[in-house]
Amino acid sequence: MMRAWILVMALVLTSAPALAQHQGNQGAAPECRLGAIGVLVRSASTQSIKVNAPTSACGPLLSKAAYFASGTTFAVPMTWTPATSTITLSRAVPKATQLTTDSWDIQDDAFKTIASVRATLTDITTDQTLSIRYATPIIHHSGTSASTTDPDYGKLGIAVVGANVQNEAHITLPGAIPSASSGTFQWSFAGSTWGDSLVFDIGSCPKDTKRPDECDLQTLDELKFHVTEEHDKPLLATFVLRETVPVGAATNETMRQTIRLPLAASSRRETVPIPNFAAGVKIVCKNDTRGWVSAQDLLQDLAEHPKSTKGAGGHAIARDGDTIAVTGDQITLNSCWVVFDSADLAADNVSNNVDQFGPQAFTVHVHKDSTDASKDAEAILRAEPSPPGTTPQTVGAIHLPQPDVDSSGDAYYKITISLKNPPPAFITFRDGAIPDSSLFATRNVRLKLRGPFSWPIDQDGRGIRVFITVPVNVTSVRFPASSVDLKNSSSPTAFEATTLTAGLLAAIEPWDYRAARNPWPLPLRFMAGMQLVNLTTPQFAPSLLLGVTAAFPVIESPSALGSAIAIGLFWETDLREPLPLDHGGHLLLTLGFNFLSLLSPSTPSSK
Amino acid sequence: MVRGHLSARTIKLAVLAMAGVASLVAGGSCTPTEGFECGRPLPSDDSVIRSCTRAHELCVCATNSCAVPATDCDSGFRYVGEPFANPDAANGCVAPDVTQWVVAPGQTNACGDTSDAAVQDAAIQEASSDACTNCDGGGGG
Repeated sequence: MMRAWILVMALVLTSAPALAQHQGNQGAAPECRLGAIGVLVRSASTQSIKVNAPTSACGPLLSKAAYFASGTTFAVPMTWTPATSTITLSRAVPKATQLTTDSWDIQDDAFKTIASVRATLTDITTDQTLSIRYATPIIHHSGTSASTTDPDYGKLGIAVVGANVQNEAHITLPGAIPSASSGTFQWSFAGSTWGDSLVFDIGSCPKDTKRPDECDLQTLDELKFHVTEEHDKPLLATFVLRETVPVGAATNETMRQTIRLPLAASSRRETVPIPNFAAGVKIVCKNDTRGWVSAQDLLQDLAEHPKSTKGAGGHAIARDGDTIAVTGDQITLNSCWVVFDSADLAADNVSNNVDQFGPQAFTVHVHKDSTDASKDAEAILRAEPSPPGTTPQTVGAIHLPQPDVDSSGDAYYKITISLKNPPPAFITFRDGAIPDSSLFATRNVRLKLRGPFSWPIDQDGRGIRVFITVPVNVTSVRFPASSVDLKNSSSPTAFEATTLTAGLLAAIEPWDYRAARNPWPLPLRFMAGMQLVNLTTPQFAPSLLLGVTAAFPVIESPSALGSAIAIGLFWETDLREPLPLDHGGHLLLTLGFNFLSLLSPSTPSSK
Repeated sequence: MVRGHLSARTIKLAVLAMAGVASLVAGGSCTPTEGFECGRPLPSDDSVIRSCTRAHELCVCATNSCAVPATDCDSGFRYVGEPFANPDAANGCVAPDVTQWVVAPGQTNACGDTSDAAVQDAAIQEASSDACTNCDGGGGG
């Protein structure tokens, strides 16, 4: 349940005399720690109030003021519902004052502490106000307009994008912040893994920042948050800072004004949006299984054939949405690679990005559809040394992982490439901001096994296939009639109609192994074999057939069940005729079916 | 699990070879029939006796061929052309000594079991030589 509590704990350092008084009290009553003191007051916009009464002996300080001595530490136990609340920290302290450490006790719905916040004020020389309030989290705000003067400007959506790694937090503002904002801005963070005692320095990046080193970490450097994960579970919180210093906006046209605030010097490189390099992924399979024994060999080949779309140099390339035909040998003999090639990545120079942001990790998921077997692997994009005499390339390449199943048969390998740590699903963008779909993009490629009896194919995956089929002709017309079938001397000899005959034919036809179909507009197949029986009598009626058939599939099956309606024209040698080679020749027009397609890859099981 | 190219090609060649051999065996093992044979049942339907049904035709049981009256033949009959006459007897004169074993015009009964292979062969041979004489310009129509 979403509850919008806005509670303000105001801790006011009202005056120097009061400070002096407090300092005096502190000396007289050292047990008067403010660690449990907090006044939680609802905001004007809410109807509920929660007061966390002080437990110390510092009674007079309850209402709206508290005195802090330099070095005083306070702690605020509070109930924290990550899904419905936002912690707001407002402060107005001069630079002489430093809030050196903040740690918050944050509890989940079950009142289990998932993080703690503690703050220490030091070097306080003037009256200061430090307020902490709860607010509805940004992830539940929608339809709220943001402005620089709106106290709730913090509703501006800011969320985590990218993959958190150990001891780093990646924070993104998915919408532009005015470059000279003096109002409240807000951010949230989340992560699957946090390091212990992680300190985030808060800074900002100039507008249109392109390079991480352009970000100024000092702008808000006086605020430092010390976040400690106390439990091994994801941390989600949203803070609002009230600050008077200008806040720059880091925008990036490519990322559609996605903005990132640097949280720590160590994560500065993460503050500028970087492309999702999955856009440049492709699967490259060497037709000759003896090639590309190393990534260096592959790199050399790709460098020699840049911008190749169909695959030069005896290899096939599949990019997002493509399907290529492969043999089981190509998979089992490691002839297929997952490649991140700078030649396919537009605009930004991949090498520079890799230098700036380091390698980018992807998960490669391979699934063989006919077996439900799958396997994952990790691909890392990094700069590779270029072969001598070639244009510098940036390539990440790994052998295609293969499920531990038989690589034969007639199946598809479905390959999905995605960021190893994709953005969290709960990411919320500022109203009007357009999330860049590339952040979440995955790339899908299919490899179509050609089957054990496949024949060589060209670089487009086209070739021929040879298979055995059972022709069942519903009706046939023979020119001239076979003398064996003549009932009397008045029977016409120029032609003869027969019904329901069957045989066995070997067929050869052009074949697109990627789509598993005949690519010709009129799907002709050339056939030779025997017609064996007349099913109406039934009677053994052998004849040799050689001809061509136009076959229109009626059953598309992943196995050998593929069948088609067939209209055929054959030269027939009727072996029942006397002297069949001299007198048995006929022209035979058939209409019927070609049942089964034995010993050949047939049709796909799914698209 | 791993199968090299050679094994795959071997399988392909083996399949084609098997198909070819099967075709040859099937073709070689098939005993051709004699085509149209009047007075005998239709191979596909024993209840149907193939007959000579055109005008004035009769079935000569010695050759299971149709014949028509011909004044230039000693027997008074000449075999018709293919496919309604034995290829070796077609267009030849019917031997005089086989004209008594015929199926009369307009009848569709079988020739029966009285055929004598020797008589049949002689009749065909005679008709064949007559046909060849005709081919050489010896008449016979």
